[in-house]
Amino acid sequence: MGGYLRVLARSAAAAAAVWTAYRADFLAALLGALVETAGRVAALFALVRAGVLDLAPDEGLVYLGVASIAIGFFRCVVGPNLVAFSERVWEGSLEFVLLRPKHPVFLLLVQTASPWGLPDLLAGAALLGLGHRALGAQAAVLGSLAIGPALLVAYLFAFLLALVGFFSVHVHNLVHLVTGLFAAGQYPVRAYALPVRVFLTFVVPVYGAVNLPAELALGRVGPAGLLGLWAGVAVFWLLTDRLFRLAVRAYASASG
Amino acid sequence: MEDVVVAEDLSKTYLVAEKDPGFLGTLRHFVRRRYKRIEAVKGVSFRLRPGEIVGFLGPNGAGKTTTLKMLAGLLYPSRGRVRVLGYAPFERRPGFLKRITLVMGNKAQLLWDLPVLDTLRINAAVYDIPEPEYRRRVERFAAMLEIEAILTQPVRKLSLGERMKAELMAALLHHPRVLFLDEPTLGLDVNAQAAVRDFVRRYAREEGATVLLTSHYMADIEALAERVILIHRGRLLFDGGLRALVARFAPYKEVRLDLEAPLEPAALAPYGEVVGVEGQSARLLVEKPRLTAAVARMLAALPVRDLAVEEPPLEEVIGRVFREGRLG
Repeated sequence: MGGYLRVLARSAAAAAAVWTAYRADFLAALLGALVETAGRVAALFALVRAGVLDLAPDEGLVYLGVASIAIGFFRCVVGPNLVAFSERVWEGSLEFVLLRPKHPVFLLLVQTASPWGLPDLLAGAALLGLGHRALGAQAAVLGSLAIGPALLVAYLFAFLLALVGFFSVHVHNLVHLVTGLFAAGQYPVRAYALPVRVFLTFVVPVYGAVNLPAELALGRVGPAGLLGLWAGVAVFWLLTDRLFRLAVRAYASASG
Repeated sequence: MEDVVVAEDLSKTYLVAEKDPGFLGTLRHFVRRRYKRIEAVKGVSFRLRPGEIVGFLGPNGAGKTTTLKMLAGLLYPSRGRVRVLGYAPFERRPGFLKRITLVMGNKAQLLWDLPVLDTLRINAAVYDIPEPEYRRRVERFAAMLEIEAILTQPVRKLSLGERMKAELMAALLHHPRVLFLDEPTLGLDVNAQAAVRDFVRRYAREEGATVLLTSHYMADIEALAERVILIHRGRLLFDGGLRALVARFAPYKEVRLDLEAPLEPAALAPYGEVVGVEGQSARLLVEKPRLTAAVARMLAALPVRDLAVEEPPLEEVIGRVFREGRLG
């Protein structure tokens, strides 16, 4: 376990070094993401104030805070790593990952990161801070504990879909699709029509990954929700591991 | 001692999508894919002993890289049995992966935007190399490869030769016992090629490592390998010593002529197989039993200024084996 943490820490340090190697691009990325996040916050806040979402303003801030963190995580970690995975399949450098004595799925999940989602992450934390009046102390702790496994569920689900890259090679559009689906969680799933609600709960785990931590924090769901999230992590990890092994068996690699 | 690498009847078949050109071909390809079976490796068997350095030769598309990838556990064999260090490679157990490496001359594992040391630090974590040991290895390899000065420069700023040396360093940091080297000197200048060869030879000697090396540069093979395995169209053609290869497939000598005046190849053909004519120089291959008589006739009949008889270059011998597709 210590070895995996060391790989994670060094990969993160390398990713940060890559961002800051190109300072002008890094600053442009930060500025662009800040502007976009501000627009999204303004839109949701308008809907809350208009009463469309049937939420108190503080509750709306909590939903939006968790959603912003999820979106930031997708931009910082999920998207870049799925694209990097697809590029590795395309150029034939997946070999270097498969030859490592650590779990290849873990190495693919942590191989890179991007600064694009940092403002979303910061905005998410700030919104949760602003909405803290809506939270009970115990529920707030539960909600905080739920964010980690919720993001893992979303990440493993997205990676599971990206495994199609073993066969179709390019998964860029799939990455956009998955990111878009999880972005739908910035509004509570119950605000959508029933078929969409079912889809976003049982087909794509948007409810579990984006709304559930907010509902735990608001005390709308009990501690069982947290256990459910960890069970989800375990199920998605096992599924990803199995499918990855099967896909690697059929992997033909790019010609050398 | 137990063999380090055992390949028995090793075969690999790929399915490759085929597409007709043009818009209609694109439409058909989108709606219904057509696949062709490619038999890249067909029933190849060989064994490597501990500490051996073996050249693995074949023309492009012969199945060398596919075989290496099956040995390294990257590809699942369609048929046959393979064992490396007692492991089934495709299971890719950590104990196996910590003791092998694969270097691909046309692919890079170094992080492009960062200095070499950043990749090395990640590799040290991946292979659980303790910090003091990591530093010791980096120092030793950097000195052996003479790249101490470039370790803190971004990889994208390095020359091809420097990059390849750094790739080797990254690939060997965990001290593997078995090295699969696929064209490690590809595109390098003569000096860089020599440096890479020296490093591989020294590493293999000091660590007792087993090396399977593919290269299109015969200088690599002659400098490093005493044994060669030839593969052509997926089949094994020859497995044996370099000298045995030359004796078996080159029952001729090369005669180099320096002429007083240029001659047409047709004028030289009666004396042997003309392999090259350039101005007043010519190269002929003459069968060994006919050599003395042929040389005497050339000296008598041709305007010869100088004549030399040599063993044919290894490239020539191997090229002939592949052209004729002779089975060993």
